[in-house]
Amino acid sequence: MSRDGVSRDAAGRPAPRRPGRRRRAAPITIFIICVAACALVGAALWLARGGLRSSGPLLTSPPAFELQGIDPAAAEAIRTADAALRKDPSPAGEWGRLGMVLLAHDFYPAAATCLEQASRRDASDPRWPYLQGLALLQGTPDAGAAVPRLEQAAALASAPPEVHLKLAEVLLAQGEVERAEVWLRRAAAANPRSARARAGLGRAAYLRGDLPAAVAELTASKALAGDVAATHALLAEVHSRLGNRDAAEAERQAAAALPSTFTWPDPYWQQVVALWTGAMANLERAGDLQKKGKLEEAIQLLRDTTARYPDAILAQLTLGRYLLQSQRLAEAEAAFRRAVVIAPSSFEARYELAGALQAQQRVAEAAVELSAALALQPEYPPAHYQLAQCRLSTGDSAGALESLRAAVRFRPSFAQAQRDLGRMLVQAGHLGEGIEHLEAAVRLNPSDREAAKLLEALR
Amino acid sequence: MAGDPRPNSRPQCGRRGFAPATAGVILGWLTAGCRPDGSGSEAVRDVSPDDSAAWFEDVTAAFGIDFIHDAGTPGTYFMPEAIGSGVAFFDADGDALLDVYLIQNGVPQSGSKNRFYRQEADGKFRDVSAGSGLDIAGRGMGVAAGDANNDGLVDVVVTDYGDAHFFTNLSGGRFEDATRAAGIDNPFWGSSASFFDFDRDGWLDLVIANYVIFSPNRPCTDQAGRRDYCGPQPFPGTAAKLFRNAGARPADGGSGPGRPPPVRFEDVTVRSGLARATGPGLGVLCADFTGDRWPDVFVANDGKPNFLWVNRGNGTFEEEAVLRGMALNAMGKTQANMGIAVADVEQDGLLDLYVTHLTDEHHILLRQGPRGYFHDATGAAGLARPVWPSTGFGTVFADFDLDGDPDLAQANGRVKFTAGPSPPGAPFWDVYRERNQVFENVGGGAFRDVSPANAALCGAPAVSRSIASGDFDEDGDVDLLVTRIEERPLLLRNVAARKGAWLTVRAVDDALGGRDMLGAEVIVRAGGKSWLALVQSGQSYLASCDPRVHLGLGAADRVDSITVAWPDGTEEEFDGGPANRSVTLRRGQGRKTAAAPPGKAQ
Repeated sequence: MSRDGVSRDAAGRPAPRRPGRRRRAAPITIFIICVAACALVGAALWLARGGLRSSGPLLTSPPAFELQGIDPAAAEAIRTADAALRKDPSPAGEWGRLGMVLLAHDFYPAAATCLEQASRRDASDPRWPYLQGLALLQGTPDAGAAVPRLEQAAALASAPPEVHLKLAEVLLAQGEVERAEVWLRRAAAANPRSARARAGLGRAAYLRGDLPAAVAELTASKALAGDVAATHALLAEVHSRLGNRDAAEAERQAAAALPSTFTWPDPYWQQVVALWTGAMANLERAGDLQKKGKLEEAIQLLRDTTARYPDAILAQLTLGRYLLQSQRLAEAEAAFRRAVVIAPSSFEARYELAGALQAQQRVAEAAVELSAALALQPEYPPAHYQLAQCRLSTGDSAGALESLRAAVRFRPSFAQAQRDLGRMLVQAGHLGEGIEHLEAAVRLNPSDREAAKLLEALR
Repeated sequence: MAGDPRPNSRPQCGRRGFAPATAGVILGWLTAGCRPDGSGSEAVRDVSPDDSAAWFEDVTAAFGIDFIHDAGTPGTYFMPEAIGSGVAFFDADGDALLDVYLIQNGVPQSGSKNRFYRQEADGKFRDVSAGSGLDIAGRGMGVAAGDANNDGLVDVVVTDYGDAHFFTNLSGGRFEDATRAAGIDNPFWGSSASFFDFDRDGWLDLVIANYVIFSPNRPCTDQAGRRDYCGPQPFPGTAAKLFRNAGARPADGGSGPGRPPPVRFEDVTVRSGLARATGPGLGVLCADFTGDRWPDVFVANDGKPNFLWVNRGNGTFEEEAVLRGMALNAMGKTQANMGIAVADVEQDGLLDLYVTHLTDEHHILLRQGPRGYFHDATGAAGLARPVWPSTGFGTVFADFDLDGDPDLAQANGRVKFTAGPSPPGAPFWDVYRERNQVFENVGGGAFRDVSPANAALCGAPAVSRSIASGDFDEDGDVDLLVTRIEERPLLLRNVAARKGAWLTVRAVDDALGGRDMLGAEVIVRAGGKSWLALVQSGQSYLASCDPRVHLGLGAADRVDSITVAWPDGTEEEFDGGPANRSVTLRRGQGRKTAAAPPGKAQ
């Protein structure tokens, strides 16, 4: 080494530099720095896009929400859950309960926040991320954020199959067929008699273009649960594409006969529904009781509801309908009269009151109420038809004819009205017009023997 | 040179450092680029505001459109006020310039009337409502435009809450209400309407989609008991009405010198079979969906399965939406179903549909394939995860950037609030506002969301409803007109950077007054590719669009040939020519070809 610190050879020329320890380490250092930088950037992006867990400290108080204008019972339930949480914000359960109560009452963003807090406090309970996922799918949906939550729930050993199936269905709806099939196959393997898993596999096969496999799975699902309109509808389409016309038509008719509002049972969602409270919740529960044949319980629930919510017109009308159904005609009439007082401009109140009067053979009074109802809303065909019946009973043929014309005008597909109008016109000597309406009746309802007989007699 | 000292002592990521840096980048991509949900359904990443040039500029005020929509008195949650209203782009006076007709939704007694704007030679619009006969007030919903009496003048139908109006075009910017004389009786809540020739007799028939029998005094709330607009579920649906055009007869009484032939329609709703099924119809689109050259009727039902009325060719229709995959979404569920857009999105010779829905659902791309069957391809097309969710109403396909692939625009606005009504003092409609959306077709029927880059269309939230497309400035690209509740509409001129050539095609029949042949299908061949488009003004939601076909041709600078499948089932081929022009094809002036259906056989 020369005095200037530069290595030189024997001739005094600067010696070739050999990488010292520091230079040998440089490429490794560069590599490590690059990797670390990229990983940091990646992690930041990943978290920003809603990684599996949110960063940031745990909340110590619930999110804000506005309760003005909501049902008092709902407000009370939310405040109670909120107070319990504020008293002790550590347990996951309190966050979860508030989240569920908020979710039950359509407070989606606040519900999602609470459920996320519950999930962070107790990672072992699949309920919290699952319900958070559902909250994120509703209101202003964010499927991108919802799917990781559902996956988080599904990954837990204690997650019920409904969680896996919901995740699969959300993935299918996003077009993620392969990912969905993983969860569907898992659910089907765990329970080969799962109609929902079979339906999902059928739908996945259809989306892949494997129609025979779709038929097999959907048929299996149908055998396990025959009341799912969507299964029949898809089978109808698949059979149609395969050229199986009769099978397609049979499935189409089956689908049409079933309500399109079917939802699969969901134990976690049921817990949320159980927390829904207020007049609308009572109305829904009364309807469920009525469908199960528990009419008296439904009536009692509605009595309690109308006592607490004296101006709840829908509860009042529903009470009247159920009383009518149970043949308590005078009580039904009273309920409908109360509805008219609550809402004098309500078509439904007048119309239902007319029905109660008709049931008591008080035809003239019923006609008055029907006329009042139709003055409020002229385009309701059943009201015109009933008014026609009332007018016929009181000997007002001209009035009956006018009402039947109105019924048909507002619903050309009203086969009964077409038939009755046709018959009356023929009886009144208007043969051509009468035949037109009778032909319409037969076209609309080929099994109407009365209309067909009348036509035949005229020909 | 070996040992070459570098003056800079900082670590160099030159050639030596490239491999480790690449590895780092790859590792970073594996962690950052791999989305937590592993979603692979998005074809192309979405754009940020600075990423792409805007496609539209707002010229509403500059071009003379001073209309302000009136929805009546807010706060009563009267359902019709949240549903309307529509708009028409149509050439009212035959000067080859698109005029505008905007519909009002104030109460009949209000001073708020529909407004008719004539486009002047300078491209601006002048309010000529007064004296036009079109300046009516009412709960206006939709509008359809078509030449019903084949006199070369476009007539107009307006649907209403509880009524419908038929206006005969008297020329000179004047219209006459001929509703009763024409036999139009639609005492329902009419929504979208469309002209089409269902019996192929040369006379335009009319279909009106009808909504629900609404009870105004029925209160609706959210789950927390807060009052909001009702959805369709509590109310019975109604049947679409079909009116067969019996043909105008000049010798009939009522006409006189200089008066157009009177139009007569016959209500064939029952006879045709459309009365057999009722639903809350909001959108309607007439086109041949089965490949038999008879136009069918697709009705978008709000919250119920859609209908596809398949034309049997004998005056009757059969409902087959379930059988053909058009009734429900990919999960077999009903959705809201409002507006309808139509195009061949992946250029396979088959028309596809896009139907709009509510914010907590997803809008659905119904891709046709095989012919006559449709499937929900929303996820695969990259449309299931837009930049922001929305409640969509009006929607249209159009190749805005002329790259050869039809893009998609959508008018949005909620019908229910998410977090409660507007606070006291705040504007009532604030909680229903949403931003519109536009999606670029990047080829193969895949879309990317370019909404953030299009502030004129998608910037300010509003309660938008209808959207009509048309080339109002006659420069070869497609412009838009969007209606918004309680606000002025948006007249948006297309200023997109052009990525290719264009062709505008008008298909007419001189024997039928030179009218636009609604229902015709046009196939343009250029540069080794072909484009299929439908001639139909009735599409979107409550709207009537420019009936001409507007195509972007991408790199092709010359058209090889144009085939027109006329509504009567015949087909003619026309010579091509240069691109970047408008052509009018007249029936009878082409070469007759065998009427083989385009696209894949069923």
